Amino acid sequence: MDWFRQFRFRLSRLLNLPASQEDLADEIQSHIEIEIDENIERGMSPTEARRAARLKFGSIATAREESREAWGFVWLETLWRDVRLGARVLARRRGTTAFVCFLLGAGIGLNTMIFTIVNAAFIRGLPYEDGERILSLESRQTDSGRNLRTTSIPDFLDWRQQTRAFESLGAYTSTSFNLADDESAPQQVRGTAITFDGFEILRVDPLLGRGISEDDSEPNAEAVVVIGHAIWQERYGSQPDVIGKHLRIDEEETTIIGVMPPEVRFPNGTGLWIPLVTKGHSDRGDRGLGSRLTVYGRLAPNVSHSEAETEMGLIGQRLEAQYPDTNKDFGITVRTFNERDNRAMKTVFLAMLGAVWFVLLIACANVANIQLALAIDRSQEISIRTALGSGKFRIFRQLLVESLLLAAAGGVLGLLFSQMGVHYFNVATANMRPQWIDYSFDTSVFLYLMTICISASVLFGLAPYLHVVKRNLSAGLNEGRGQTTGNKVRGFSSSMVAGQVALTIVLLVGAGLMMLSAWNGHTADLGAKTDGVLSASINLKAARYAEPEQRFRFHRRLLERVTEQRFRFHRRLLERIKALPGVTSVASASHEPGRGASRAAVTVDGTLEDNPNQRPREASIVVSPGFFNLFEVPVLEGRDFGPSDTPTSPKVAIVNRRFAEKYWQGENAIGKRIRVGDGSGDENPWLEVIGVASDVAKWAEFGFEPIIYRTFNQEASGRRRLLVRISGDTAAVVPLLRQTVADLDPNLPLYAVSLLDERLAAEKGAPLFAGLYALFAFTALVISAAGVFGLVAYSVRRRTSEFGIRMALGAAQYEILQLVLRQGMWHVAIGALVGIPSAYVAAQVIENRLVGVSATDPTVLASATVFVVFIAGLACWFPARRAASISPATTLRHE
Amino acid sequence: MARKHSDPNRNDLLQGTLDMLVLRTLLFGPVHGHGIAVSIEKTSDDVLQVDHGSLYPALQRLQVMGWIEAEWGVSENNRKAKYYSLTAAGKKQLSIESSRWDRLTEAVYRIMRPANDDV
Repeated sequence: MDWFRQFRFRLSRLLNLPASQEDLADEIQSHIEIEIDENIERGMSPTEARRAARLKFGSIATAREESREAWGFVWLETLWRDVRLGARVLARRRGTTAFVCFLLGAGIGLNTMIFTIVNAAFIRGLPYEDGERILSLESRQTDSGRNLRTTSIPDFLDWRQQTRAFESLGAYTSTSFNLADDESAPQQVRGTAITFDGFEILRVDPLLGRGISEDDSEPNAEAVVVIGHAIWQERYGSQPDVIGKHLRIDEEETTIIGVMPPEVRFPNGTGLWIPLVTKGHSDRGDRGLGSRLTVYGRLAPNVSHSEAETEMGLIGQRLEAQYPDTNKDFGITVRTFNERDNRAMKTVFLAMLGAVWFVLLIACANVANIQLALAIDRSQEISIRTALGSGKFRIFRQLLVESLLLAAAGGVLGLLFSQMGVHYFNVATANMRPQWIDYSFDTSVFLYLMTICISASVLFGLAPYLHVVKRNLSAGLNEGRGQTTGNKVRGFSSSMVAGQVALTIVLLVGAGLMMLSAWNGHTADLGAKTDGVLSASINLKAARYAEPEQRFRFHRRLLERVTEQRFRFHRRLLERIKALPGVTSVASASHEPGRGASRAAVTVDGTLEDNPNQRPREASIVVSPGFFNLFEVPVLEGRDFGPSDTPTSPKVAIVNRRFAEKYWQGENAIGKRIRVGDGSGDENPWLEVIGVASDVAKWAEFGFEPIIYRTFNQEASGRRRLLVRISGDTAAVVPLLRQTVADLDPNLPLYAVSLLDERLAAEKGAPLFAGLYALFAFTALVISAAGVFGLVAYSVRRRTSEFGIRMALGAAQYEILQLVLRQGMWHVAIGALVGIPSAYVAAQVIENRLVGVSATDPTVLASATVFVVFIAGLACWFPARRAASISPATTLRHE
Repeated sequence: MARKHSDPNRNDLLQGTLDMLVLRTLLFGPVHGHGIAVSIEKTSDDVLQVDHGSLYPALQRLQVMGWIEAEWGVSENNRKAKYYSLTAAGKKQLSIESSRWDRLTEAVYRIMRPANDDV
């Protein structure tokens, strides 16, 4: 390729510029000396020979310069001149430059920040080698379209055996474990039972020892564990001899076989891994809804996501045909971990990305206006340069270089802003997001940043250029500074300002809705009195609280039965805690008010639904007697749970008012029967409703929902939160609480101890997102106010002499004021007219994230519009007042 | 930007013509810069006077185009000198340019001939 060879030659010259120049000088020198030699041979004297040779050669300097030009650096030198000239121009108008850099920095910064977050939450794969090829597989109910997130063991085994699209499939199930040994205090750790090839699929290796082998996963194998880096550090002080030590995991003597590196916490904040035993389950018939496992796999080489999806679809159909009893209406969903876990946030993030694009557009429109105003001020300069022979391209290049310089400065500032923002966001969401999400700066973020910088600079660099081209350039020379400019230019500036106002209204409405919604969530009535309640977790699932015949290995089946022993332990613990000084009442619950519930399929007696998949799913919470008293939740009908409800007495339940209204409108709920269960068999007993409690919110932000309460006296579920209402100092009660638990069972850890109100406050995402929106809207508002101000101020400056004449001819101050205000507010009015319907449409996007406020709330729309118009009015007012307050004599002398 | 052209009085040859003559001179083997200038003058019976200084930008241009290559060597009177030689692309270019030159001179001749006849 010719151009390639040329480029290479030029590049090699460019890279070795001094050497190349010296080479050329040597060559010319030798040329001259050869000529001298020949002249002497012809009989000249040495001096004469030298002179003649020089004469013959001509100017050495010109020869060298023209040779250098032939190497093609001219463009580089011109570019450098342009850059220097641009920098001088920018430095001369320091204030404007700083303002423009700030505008661009804000726009680019917010954009990069949100993109970094979107990139991490939706685009990047898992943080392992080729992580984007690791996908999650789930059972899906094809009739309802609901993804179950999990799968049953036999289904998993069939998938693994039949798939060709995946290199292999792994599975895991996570839960909390009680750790104990003879050296350190007992500890509660999130652990994962994982298939033996689980780490291979991720392509991670243990730091010490070995991973889980196939033999470890045999049903009767010796219990082994791979511990995470955190446990290794905290419990064993990073000692390398940890391999082979014993650890009691849920009372089972377990050997440590490996330590994972710190970055491996798969799937999500896991501290240890044990083998997942899958053998001996194929015949148990708990396919379908009996799902326990989360399945994932690495795509085989050259297989695409959609190909894998197709293959798994076929496998799903095959299993449906083969096991119609359990697998009817079950399909398989293949999606990324991000899609699975962050999908709920997608609209919020996309709306944020849209919002920051608006901010950037507003900033660019503003900068374009500023640049345009400056270009008009520089009309004369540009005209002179054109008259002196500068081509249009030359002027365009000059303006473009200026824009690029501004964009570069804005980009650096934006990068700084975005890094600060991402850092803050990372810290603020640490408890709300999947642990694997990594917000670090990567290539895609860099490319995004570059793209928006360059497109922004072209966008606003082009505006003044178009103006320059459209104008009759020579006319500039004849023109003074005060004359009116073309209608086209004015039209452009005006539409930029109107557009800014419109976009600001859209953003402000969005922010208003989000803030109102967050406020509603914050102040929402939980229906329970939570202040002064201390909350702490214990987990009674350990083997000692289960009857011998039900001692499944914990990871084999996570279902346990209530035992007399556990019931008694729990009752004794609550009694002892209640007797502690500073404690007024005590209870326990599977979920605290406002912090969720489990969901279970419900059968209401009388409305029997044959298809288990079609059964309604409702919130279910297990509580101890005294729960309603502790939170001052009145039991409206019937009675509370009491000591007479025991594992052997008839099974009972309490429902909340919403539940009673939903299923037995108008009828007396007391005495009705419900069955709670996953539908895999009808062995679950009927529960008799003994009471209707006042509504308590499941999630603070989302209002009241139907809830079923069962009691620990009769229900399994070893993990529970102790709820202690205290009077006085928290710090005094906590050690007593720990001591009480340790006295009863030294192997039982008490963990996550904190005030309930603090826990409720810590997990709210809504205020954070509302805050971000408010930040976008505020930035947009400031920028567009500056835009309106700039436009009006500029027009006032250009029309100073006109106003002077008007005043000299008898116009009153208020008339001038009116004139300027009318002109400015006209743009604002157009902006508002466009903005209101746009905001109305845009708000639909976030509709389903809103609590207690409709996306089309007229108050929000009206107040946002009024607010923007008011601010814009202020922005017009100041230059208008200045126009009106200048004396005619001064303005006439202005020229 | 107005490209700076070399002084028209300095160079008696059309720019493209000098390039062609250089390529033609190199057809018989490597020659150094001074040799090229002398060769053009001698072969044209001193009709074409090459401004030696203007030779060097042309040599650089031809190198950029990839038509000639350069290598340091020693001249017949024992001086260090840079020798230029034609590349394959240069040979092709030479044939293109000489046929273009033929067409041009023929055309000029056709125009000028009748005028001469009239005299």
